[in-house]
Amino acid sequence: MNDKELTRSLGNCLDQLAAGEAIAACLAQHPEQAAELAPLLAMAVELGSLRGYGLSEAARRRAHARLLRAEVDRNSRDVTHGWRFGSLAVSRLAAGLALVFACVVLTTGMVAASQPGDLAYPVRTFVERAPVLLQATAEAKATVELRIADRRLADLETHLATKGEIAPAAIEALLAGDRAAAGRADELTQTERLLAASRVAAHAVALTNLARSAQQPLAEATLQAAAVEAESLAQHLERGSESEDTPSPTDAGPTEPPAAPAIGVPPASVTPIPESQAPEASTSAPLPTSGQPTRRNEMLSATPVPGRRATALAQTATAPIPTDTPQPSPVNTATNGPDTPVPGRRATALAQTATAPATVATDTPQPAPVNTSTSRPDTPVPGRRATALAQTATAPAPAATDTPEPSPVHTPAGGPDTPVPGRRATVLAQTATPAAAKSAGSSAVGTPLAP
Amino acid sequence: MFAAIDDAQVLSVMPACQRGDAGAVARLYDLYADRIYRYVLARTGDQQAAEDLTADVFLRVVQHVQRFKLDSSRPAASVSAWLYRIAGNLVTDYHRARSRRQVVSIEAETPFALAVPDPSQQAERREALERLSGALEKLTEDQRLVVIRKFGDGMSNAQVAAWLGKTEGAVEALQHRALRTLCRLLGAKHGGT
Repeated sequence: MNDKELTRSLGNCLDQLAAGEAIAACLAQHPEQAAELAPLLAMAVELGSLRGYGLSEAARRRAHARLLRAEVDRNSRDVTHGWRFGSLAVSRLAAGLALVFACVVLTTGMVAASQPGDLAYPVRTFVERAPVLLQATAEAKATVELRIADRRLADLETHLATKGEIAPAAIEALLAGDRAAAGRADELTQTERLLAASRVAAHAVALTNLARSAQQPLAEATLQAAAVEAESLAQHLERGSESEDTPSPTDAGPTEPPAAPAIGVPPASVTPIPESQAPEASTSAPLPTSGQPTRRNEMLSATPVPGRRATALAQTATAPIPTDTPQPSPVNTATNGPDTPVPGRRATALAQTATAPATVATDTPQPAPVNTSTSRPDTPVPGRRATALAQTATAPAPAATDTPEPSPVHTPAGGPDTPVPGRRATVLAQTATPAAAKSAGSSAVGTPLAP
Repeated sequence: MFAAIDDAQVLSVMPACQRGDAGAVARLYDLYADRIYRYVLARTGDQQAAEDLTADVFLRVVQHVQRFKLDSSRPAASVSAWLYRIAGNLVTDYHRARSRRQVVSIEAETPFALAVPDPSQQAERREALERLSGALEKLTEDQRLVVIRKFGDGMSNAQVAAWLGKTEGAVEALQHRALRTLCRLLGAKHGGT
């Protein structure tokens, strides 16, 4: 007999017992398995005694009471837990916001207080250029760019003063601002360009001064190179103004444009020039040469303090200029003369700058104090753009006496026909020293200066 | 035989229990308390402990009912299985705690026990229950559940099979082995009959 048959027989017997039959009756149906089924059925009957057990009413009431208390406690806990969870969530949110705020404040503070050499300094230079994007006009953009460049210059000066080393990032940011301003030269008016040029030139002067004070040759060279580039940018701005006002060759002729007389070469009779120098006047004035430098170059080279703007200009001017460049034809000089600069040539611009103010200097009965100071080119000049510009505007006064007398063609025709150099000088002078400029402008032709 | 608890009864109670309805928990207790009580009594052999543990089972239900996931395909079976699992854990804890300390039964001195008209009959009955519960503890959980649900609650093999998720043949085999083990453990008395 196997287990399966016994299991089946047990199942049948248990069903019969559940139906109310007696054990003996079940065993009688399975006589061959009775010996094995009997104890199993007896155990099943004993287990059936469990049915007689049940909870008393007292136990039920106690259980109900306990469950009720537990349910109330749970509900109150849920409320408290919900409140606590909500409070915790709010607290976490507030803490997170506070953390974010603190991070923002700290980061902003770090960035704002960063100096050249700090990790956050590039971020600062980048962020501080953001206001440029908010400006609508080119003038405003250029103004902001230059203001930012001023900050970079201040950073550079501070860094150099405190740590004794240059900050390439600041230099690059400074030049970037100047480049951006110069890049908008075409969109600016003449006055705006000249103002921007004066600021960029001031950067060049400051960089030159810093180069002089630099302890290391590499730093000096870097700063000097930056100064040269800044000066070049300033000249770009200045040339932009000149090229805008420069009449085209077809326009420039013996006839005098209405704007030309504003700032022009005075009549020959006004400026007594030694006869012996007359032949050189028409040839040396437009283009400087090494042998016969322009008045501007003379002035700059005569300036004893290197590192000033004049020095930078001299360096810039002398480098690209061919020394043996022939002079323009007398006709050109006479008709267009300084009014026709060599495009892209520093020498021509400088020549124009140097030549034109001669009128101012010579026409002025009583030279302004600036004239007096610039009449002594050996006097050290403070490294300020204003002074340098004034110097630029008025320096040729004493040089005018050294300048050979312009050719007759040049003097009367070129005078009113050369508005740009004179205007530039006057405006720059106006920017630098209004009093001197005023006197210069009024003494030149008596025409009010254009704004 | 006790009336089986159908799915509709469970579905009318459990959602309310999960919402924190104290009355629903009381109804759930009324539905399952006797079955749980017999299971606990069969394993402990102590009526007072079985009553307390039965109440504890439903206290656990109160604590955890919100996290219980009702099987919508067989709600009654899932709730019942959950309750028996809680009861089994509490009984295990009860036996573990009881084995650590010297237990002095004071049941004979309780007013409830004294109220029984025939103390000797009560003692004999208690002794038989303790022996049975001791033997039941030697079974596997499936064997124990089969014999308790079948002989204690009067369920058929089909009901037990459905409740455990097994076949009727498996349930018959489990009950056969369980009865044979109990006979061997309880030995002399049943072997002689």
